[in-house]
Amino acid sequence: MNMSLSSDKENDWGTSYGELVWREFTKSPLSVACLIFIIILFIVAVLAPFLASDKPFYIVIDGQMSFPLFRDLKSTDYSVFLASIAGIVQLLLIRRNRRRLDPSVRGSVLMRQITVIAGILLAGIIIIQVLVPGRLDAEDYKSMVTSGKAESALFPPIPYGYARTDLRVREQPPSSEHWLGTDDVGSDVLCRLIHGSRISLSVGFVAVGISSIIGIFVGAILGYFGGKVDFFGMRIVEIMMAIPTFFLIITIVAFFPRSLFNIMFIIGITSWTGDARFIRAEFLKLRKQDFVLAAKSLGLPLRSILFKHMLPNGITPVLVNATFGIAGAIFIEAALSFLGFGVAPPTPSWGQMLSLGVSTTGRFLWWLTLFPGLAIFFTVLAYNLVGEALRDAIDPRLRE
Amino acid sequence: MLMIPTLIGITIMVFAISRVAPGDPVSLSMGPGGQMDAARAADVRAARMKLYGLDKPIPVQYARWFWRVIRFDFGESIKHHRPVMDIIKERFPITLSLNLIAFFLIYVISLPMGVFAAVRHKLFFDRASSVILFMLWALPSMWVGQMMIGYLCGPTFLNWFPPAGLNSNDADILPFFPWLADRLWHLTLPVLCLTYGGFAYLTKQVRAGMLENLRADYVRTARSKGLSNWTVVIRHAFRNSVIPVITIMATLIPAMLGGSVIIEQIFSIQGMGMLAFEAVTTRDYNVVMAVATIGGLLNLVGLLFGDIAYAMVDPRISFEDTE
Repeated sequence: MNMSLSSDKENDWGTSYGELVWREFTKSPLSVACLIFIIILFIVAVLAPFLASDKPFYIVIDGQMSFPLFRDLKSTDYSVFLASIAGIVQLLLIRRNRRRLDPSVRGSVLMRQITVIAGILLAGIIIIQVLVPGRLDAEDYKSMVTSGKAESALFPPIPYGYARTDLRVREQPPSSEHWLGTDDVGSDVLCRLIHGSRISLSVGFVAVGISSIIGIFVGAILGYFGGKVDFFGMRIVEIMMAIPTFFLIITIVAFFPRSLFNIMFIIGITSWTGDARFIRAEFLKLRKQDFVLAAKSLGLPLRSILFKHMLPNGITPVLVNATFGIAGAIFIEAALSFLGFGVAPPTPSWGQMLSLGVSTTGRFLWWLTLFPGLAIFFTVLAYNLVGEALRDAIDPRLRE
Repeated sequence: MLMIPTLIGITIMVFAISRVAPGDPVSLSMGPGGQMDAARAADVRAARMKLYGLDKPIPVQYARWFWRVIRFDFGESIKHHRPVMDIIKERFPITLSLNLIAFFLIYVISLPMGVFAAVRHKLFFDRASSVILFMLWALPSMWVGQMMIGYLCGPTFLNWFPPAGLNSNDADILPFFPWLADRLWHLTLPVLCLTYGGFAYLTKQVRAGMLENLRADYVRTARSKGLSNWTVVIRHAFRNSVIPVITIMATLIPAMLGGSVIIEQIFSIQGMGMLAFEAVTTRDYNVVMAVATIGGLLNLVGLLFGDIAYAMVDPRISFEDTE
């Protein structure tokens, strides 16, 4: 009796902070819907080559079966797959932690797991970039099927490539062939939208990752040391804040070569000030508290005091800020691409597609304006709503 | 008095970006080699480097550039072959007027609306306005601008507004009031595009601040004294929630400056934003640096106004003593 009770009790640690926030968050159906929308967006972005490609899954030519779509996957595709697998593994690990581990060690275990997985991910991406060769498969499989050269083939639901141009069907309004119409060089808009989601999502995540890391680091140092370090550091933060971000970004774009990574990096290094101020304020409060003094008197290294003991107490506003930051980064990327400073074509990006909405002859192409705009709008809206719900969820004053 | 170090910081940053970047103005102005033989090209290059002072060490270059900047001399535009300052003098008033109108509208609409939404907390007006504001906040301005041009300015749908520019072609010969009407007619859509984002953001903040204050004890005290509802709301709660609204001014200004780059490009208005856009696409280094510096300066002026307004509204804040 006693045994079974204790084994029952073994894993009952009460409600953790994360569970509390999660429960509060899922109370509103709207925020859950937004979260699901974001997850669907992620799935679409990860599976983009399987949803929209002009290569068939399989094709049978003269009795020989081949798999052009899988052969044609690029190193970016493999990197995206790896990243999504890493993300799923991390989520599973978090679930496992919740059942197996004591709450007091969960934080540091989680930190270690994230570091290890991020390391594996980075190494994997580098290896993939080196090992997977760039291949150009310009075979027109569709004409093979129509001319009867191939016996059977299975195409993805949207059988167009994002870089495939077809001048015969340029600037076509939506039809049963091209569900959302075609752009100025005859590429399918839906296909480009699907592939463009990758750019938007990755820019959001990487830029916010960079800005959060810088912000946390700077804020932690300023808040922990206080005094002169804080004074001069805050002046630098104020200088950063006084520079109009968009002008600074445009200035940097003017001088540096255009690439996706540059854009992520630039957005990241110009938007860390908010996080730095949050963390600094939090650390200024925390640094006089007993547990910090205890950690200090134990002779723990600074790294451990700052990031293991103090940071978990101040990280939640950064998470909320990050959600809004992702929305902001997607916005900025779209604006940059719209102005023509974004990724170079034919890589699709929502902002760049939007800029094609007024053709060079001055004609207004509503399908090229409406659909990418809606994509940006819904994505940004979903992130903002999730951020808002998260902020309410962590606010103890609003909890009943 | 943090302005001076901040200004120096901005100039250092702008200068550093221009120097860290690959390529230099001289090789850019000389274009791809080929016309000249190598030895002569090297000579010309050295001469030009000397002419522009690029052979000096970088701190010296910065000092010289900064000395010219504080006298508002940004050198000559490579594209227009005119002093950068002359061009900016032409373009600046346009952007300023555009942004000031938008700024004014943002505050005029969102203060009462935020207050009203907070007073009607959880009632129909509050819920409806929250949803609408949230959607406005997430609307990309370039999309709105382009949709407006497409649907309201084109021959295809409604032809209500002019799609581009600030004046009609014959505006010079119009008397004042028709000219003003013409100008306003042209300004409507761009200002609308600039306004709604900041408007949504500010209204949300006003509402949140008001809600916080309306729940506070002093408001309950005021009510229990028997003051009328509106006196409590306006004289007591509103005054206290104005303070964060002023702080937001500091974040609104840079956002609007950035936004005007997009808006001016969409509506082809020849303002600072358009100048920045053109300078970046044509790699007109002097103009880019000038626009970035002046943008930072403007922002600082905005911050300063914010601080002054702050001190005026809140007597607890003074700048003489430090804690």
